[in-house]
Amino acid sequence: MKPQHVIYLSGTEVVLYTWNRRNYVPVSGYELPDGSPGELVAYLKQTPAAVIAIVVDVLEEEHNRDTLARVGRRDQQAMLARKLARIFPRTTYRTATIQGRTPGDTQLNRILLSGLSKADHLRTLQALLAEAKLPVSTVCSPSLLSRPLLDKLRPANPADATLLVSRQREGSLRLSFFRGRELVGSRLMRRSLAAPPGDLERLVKQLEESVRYFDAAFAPSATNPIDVLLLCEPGIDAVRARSEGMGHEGFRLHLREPAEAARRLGLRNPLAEGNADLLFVELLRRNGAAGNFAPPEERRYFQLHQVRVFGKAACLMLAFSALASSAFNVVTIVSVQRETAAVRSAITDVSGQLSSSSAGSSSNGADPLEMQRIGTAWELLEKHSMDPQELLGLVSTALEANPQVMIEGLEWAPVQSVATASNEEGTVATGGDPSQVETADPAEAEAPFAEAGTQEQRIRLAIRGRVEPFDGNYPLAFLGVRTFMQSLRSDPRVISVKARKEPLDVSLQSTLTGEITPQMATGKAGFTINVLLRVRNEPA
Amino acid sequence: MSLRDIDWQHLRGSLLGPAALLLGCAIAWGATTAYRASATDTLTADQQNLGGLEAERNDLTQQLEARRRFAPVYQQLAVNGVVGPEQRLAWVQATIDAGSNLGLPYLRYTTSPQRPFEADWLTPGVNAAVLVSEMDLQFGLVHEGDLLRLFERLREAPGLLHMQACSLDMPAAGGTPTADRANITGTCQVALYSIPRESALVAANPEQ
Repeated sequence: MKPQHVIYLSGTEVVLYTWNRRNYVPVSGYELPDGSPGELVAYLKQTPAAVIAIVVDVLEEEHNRDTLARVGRRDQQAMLARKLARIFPRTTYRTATIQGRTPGDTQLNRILLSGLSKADHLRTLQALLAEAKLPVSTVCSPSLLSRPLLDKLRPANPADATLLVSRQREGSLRLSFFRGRELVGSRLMRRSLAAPPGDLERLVKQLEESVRYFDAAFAPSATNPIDVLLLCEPGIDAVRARSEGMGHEGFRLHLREPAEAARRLGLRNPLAEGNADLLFVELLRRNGAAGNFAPPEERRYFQLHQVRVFGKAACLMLAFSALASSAFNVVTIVSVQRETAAVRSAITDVSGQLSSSSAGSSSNGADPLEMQRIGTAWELLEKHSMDPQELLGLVSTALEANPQVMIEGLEWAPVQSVATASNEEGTVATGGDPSQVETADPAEAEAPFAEAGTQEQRIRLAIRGRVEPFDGNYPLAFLGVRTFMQSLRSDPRVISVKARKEPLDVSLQSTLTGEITPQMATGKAGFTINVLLRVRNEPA
Repeated sequence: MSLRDIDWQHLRGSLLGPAALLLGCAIAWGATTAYRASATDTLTADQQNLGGLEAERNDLTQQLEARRRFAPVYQQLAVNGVVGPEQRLAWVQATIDAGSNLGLPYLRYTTSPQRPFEADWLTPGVNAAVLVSEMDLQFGLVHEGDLLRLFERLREAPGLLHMQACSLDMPAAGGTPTADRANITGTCQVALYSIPRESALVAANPEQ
């Protein structure tokens, strides 16, 4: 949660900055130590749900670098709490920052312990805010906000050490010392002691003294330089300062144009000369602090504020979901009711139809479905029957056209023809007219009627007879038989006609003997013809 | 922060409104859900009722169609003695009468026991069960027309008669046919079908 209000507490005054949708502007404040915070608190109480942060920029800020064994999270918290309590025993405003592993020993973490050794004004202010039930999220210092400045403003080839020097609103100098990218220490030089703006010579001396304060073993030199980032310093000739340097080969001065520095930091307005307070206030909104001095008990109303915000959001989200579900239910109910009305209308219609149908149907004692089963059985029996009158009529018609043929006997019986494909194969095998084809195996063809399978039913008619008169002219007898067979074929019910026995066996595979004498009596020109017929109702 | 540290009054002041809104919406959701479930149950019951009525209507329509189409056939089959038990006595008497009336030189018959008739084109459940009694006829005919007349007489007997196979010999062919003499001899296999009522089948085979 980004702070709406930021209270900047320095050694001499308290200033309240408020976010006006573009940047922070000072709206209230009071002098220390005798000023009254009533107006400031009254202003804050107008927006009780706005989050407040406090930046403390005082002399009594101390930092202590240490190491900590790498342990679990809970153990780490406990060990840090003990270290903080030992180093800063008389204040509750203390915090620790884990700065990563120690070079050369992967089992140790480097830590920075920070504390406000004297925080009476802060405590008073916190008590007033808590009494007003205002949510204070963060209490931090400019040094804990300095890391973004280092990351975005230091040169492309940075030195191992960096000094961040900023001119505060009350005229003091804030110096923060970094090794690598980690904060080592920070100090505030009050206005009366700090080098005045533009006095680089005095500033260098103070920087040398401060470096010794931060790290006594560090000696700035040409081979071991320190980058100095000078921010919000008024009254300095930037061109001259860049060309002449700071007069000490161990300090490399870096001056950024206020507008360029603001652009790098993502600020809308250029940095204000002589007012680094506003810079840190803006950084607090955009980047957050590396640590928080406020003890948990003093952040109670901020936590309650979080509960309120998240609880309200959860309630509204759930209420919206319930409302949407209710709307969906209503739509579904309307649809279901329409469908129910349609179904009930259909029930009424069908019931009426059933009543009228039941009234109109008079039963004669037999089940209609049984009637249907009996009727269809009878129809099938009739369909698969043969009428002898049809067979005799077929033969009679052929005999009328062939008076030379005399019938000696007739036989008919139902047969089961082989499959259609087999019939066609038989046609090919004999190479004759398809109408002359007969079932291949007579035994198969004469299967009993009751054992008929799924194949088509046929009727085989065997006709025994002779050609009369016969005077020994076999070609004429053959012609008479063939003519008779042709007459039979002309009937559409006939599938095939084949002569099984002819007046003379002229097969090339048979042996033929005979005797011709003047007294020889003329023989009989007998024949047997097999006819294959379709049953009735079967398509030709 | 423990429960004792919580300022409930502070929380209540800002959460009361959203909580009340949530409660109202939840009640609305619960009520509409319950009513929707009830309406859906009613619809399901009505749909099942409609389905049952439609099935009943389909059955009735099927029965009416079956009655319209097959009642005349059934009536005729019942009158002709096709439906019901086989009337073997009447049939034998009809055979004897036919032989006498047609003046056949001889007519012999042999009947076999009645048995269920089976064919692929008769589907159990779709078609009624059919019983068949087969009979061999040996006869002598004066003229081939006697065969057709004999068959017509036999078909007048109760039941459904089909001639299955025949073999005719005409020893006098070419000669002059003589009256009162068997100019044609032959044998025929005849099937007498009967279709029993289903109630009779159930009574005869109660286990089926």
